[in-house]
Amino acid sequence: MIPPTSAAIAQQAVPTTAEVLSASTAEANLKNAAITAEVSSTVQKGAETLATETAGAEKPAAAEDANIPKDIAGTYTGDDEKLITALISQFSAAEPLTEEVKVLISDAVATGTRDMKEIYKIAASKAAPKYDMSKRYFNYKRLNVLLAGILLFLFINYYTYSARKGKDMFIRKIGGLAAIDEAVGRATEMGKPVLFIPGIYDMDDIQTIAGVSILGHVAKKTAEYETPLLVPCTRSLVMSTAQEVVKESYLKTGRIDSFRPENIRYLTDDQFGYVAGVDGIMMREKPAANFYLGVFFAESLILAETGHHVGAIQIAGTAMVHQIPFFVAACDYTLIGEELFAASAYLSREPMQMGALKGQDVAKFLIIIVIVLGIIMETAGYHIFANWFATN
Amino acid sequence: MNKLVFFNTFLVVFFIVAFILIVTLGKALRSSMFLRRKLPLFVCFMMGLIMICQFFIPSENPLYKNIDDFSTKWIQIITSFSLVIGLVSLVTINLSKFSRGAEDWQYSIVLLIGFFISSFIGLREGLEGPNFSFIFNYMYTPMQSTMFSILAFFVASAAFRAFRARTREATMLLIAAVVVMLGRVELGSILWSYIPVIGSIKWLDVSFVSQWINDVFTTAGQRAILLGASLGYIAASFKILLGIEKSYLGSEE
Repeated sequence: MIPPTSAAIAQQAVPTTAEVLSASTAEANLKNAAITAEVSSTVQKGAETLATETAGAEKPAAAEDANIPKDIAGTYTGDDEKLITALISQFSAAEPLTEEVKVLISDAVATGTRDMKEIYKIAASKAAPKYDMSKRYFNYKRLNVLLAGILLFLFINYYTYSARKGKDMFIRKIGGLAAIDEAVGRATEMGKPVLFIPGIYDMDDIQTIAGVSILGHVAKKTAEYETPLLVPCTRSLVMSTAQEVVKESYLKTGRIDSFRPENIRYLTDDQFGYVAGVDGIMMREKPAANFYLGVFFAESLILAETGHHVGAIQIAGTAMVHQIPFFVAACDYTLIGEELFAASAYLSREPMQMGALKGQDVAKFLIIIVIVLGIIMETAGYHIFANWFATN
Repeated sequence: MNKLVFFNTFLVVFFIVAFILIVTLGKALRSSMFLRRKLPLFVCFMMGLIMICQFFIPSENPLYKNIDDFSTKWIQIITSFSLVIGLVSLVTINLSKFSRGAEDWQYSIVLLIGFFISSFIGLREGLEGPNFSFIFNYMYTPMQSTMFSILAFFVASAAFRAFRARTREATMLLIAAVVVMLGRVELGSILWSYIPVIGSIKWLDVSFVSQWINDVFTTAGQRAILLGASLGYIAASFKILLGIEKSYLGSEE
């Protein structure tokens, strides 16, 4: 309903005032004054109502217009490009196809309007239910990741099953892991401790878990040879886990009396504070074998060089690409990237672990084929293959 | 009440009750296989599954944010509790070293004094307090910078050992390193220009060759390592989720 304007309200009120003013009594004057006040109030209220309702009607239009890109203006001249680009960018998360957007635009044009803004609004309103990602539970742009994950999962399960059935699995020699026994043996001969650093990340990182798995094996050796094992940690959860893992190894070898929980200690969460603490331990205890297995950053070279200066045999392993050169330069053996994750299978020789490793290798072979195919297709000018593998 | 708030409150209450039960029943429960193995494996599997599902949910969906908020809060809670374990270990070990008069006990005294003074000041006046800021700006930061600066000297000593041309591979490494180092400084280009024949070819300029080594050889090597490492990450995650890899759970006895 259209609200009465302030002028109309004033016109309706004026005759009433005039009639009242014609009376000569004081009562009439008083009435006049009261009515005048009432009229003024009504006029004011009417004006306010009008202003408020007009502003209210303009607000949604302004909000809608704000969503329309600035270059979408004027009359439609048959140029779809601007509209296509604007609509695709609005639903970028769902990334509608150009052909679909063209159909939406032609539908909007068929309504008879030639105003660009109006065409955009109609097309966008029709596209919204289809491309509104807030109501979806699956991001189809990650379908490629899901398929690759399922494939890897199937490979791992198949080879794990084969390994359990007794199929023999070959695993190549990994220098760094083969040298663990040599390193612990050297420390035993020299009567010095073994130092193990499980990286500077928490237990939520797979590299730390891989490092802690190797710690179990190192602890078995130190328990057998009765060599002290020092594990300074930068995270309390890693310390608790390391204590449990080392304790288990000492229990399995029947040397629980040699287990010293105080040798597996927390230093600090601070990166360089930890480096200072570990360097101090190295200078005081002079370990004969140092293990650096886990996540490392700038501290990698500081630790490895200090270890070199105290004359320790050093074995490092990390998947941090920028730290690998430092370890290669300063340590005797380095586990590069995936070798760190293969350590658990290599050391335990458990069929399940070996099967998982084999599944991983088959997936790697598949990736090599995909890369070669991708190179050929991109060189030939077919981008569909590479585009499918692009993730969001 | 918001569903998420209700769920979080429920979990907090659940874990508090579980913690009290574990502490109360003590050793009887310590030997329980369910609590030591099966429950952690189940929690690990469920959380892993939830996080994998989150990856495939569009970020615009409110559920994505709910899972994100939920996991972030729990990480904060667990980290805060685990810090207490670390601090107890730190103080206990150093107090024990001091009381036993073990070798190098003086360092333990320094650590304990530093720990208690900064904790006291920090708790009394907060992180923005003048004395705590003084400790941070004039003690903590310079000490941290000192440790970091040592790296420069260690890079030189490690490079000196790595670049000794003892084998064919080491010689190739040395040549590549010299070219890259020359390509990074102005003087390198000037020196390069004096090399007969090569120095006069513009497209064989040392800065270009240096960039080419970085773009082609280094990037190719790094990507190969990353691919292998990523597959290792995923395979190791599957092993943990499926319970094939259990070594991180510690003792079975």
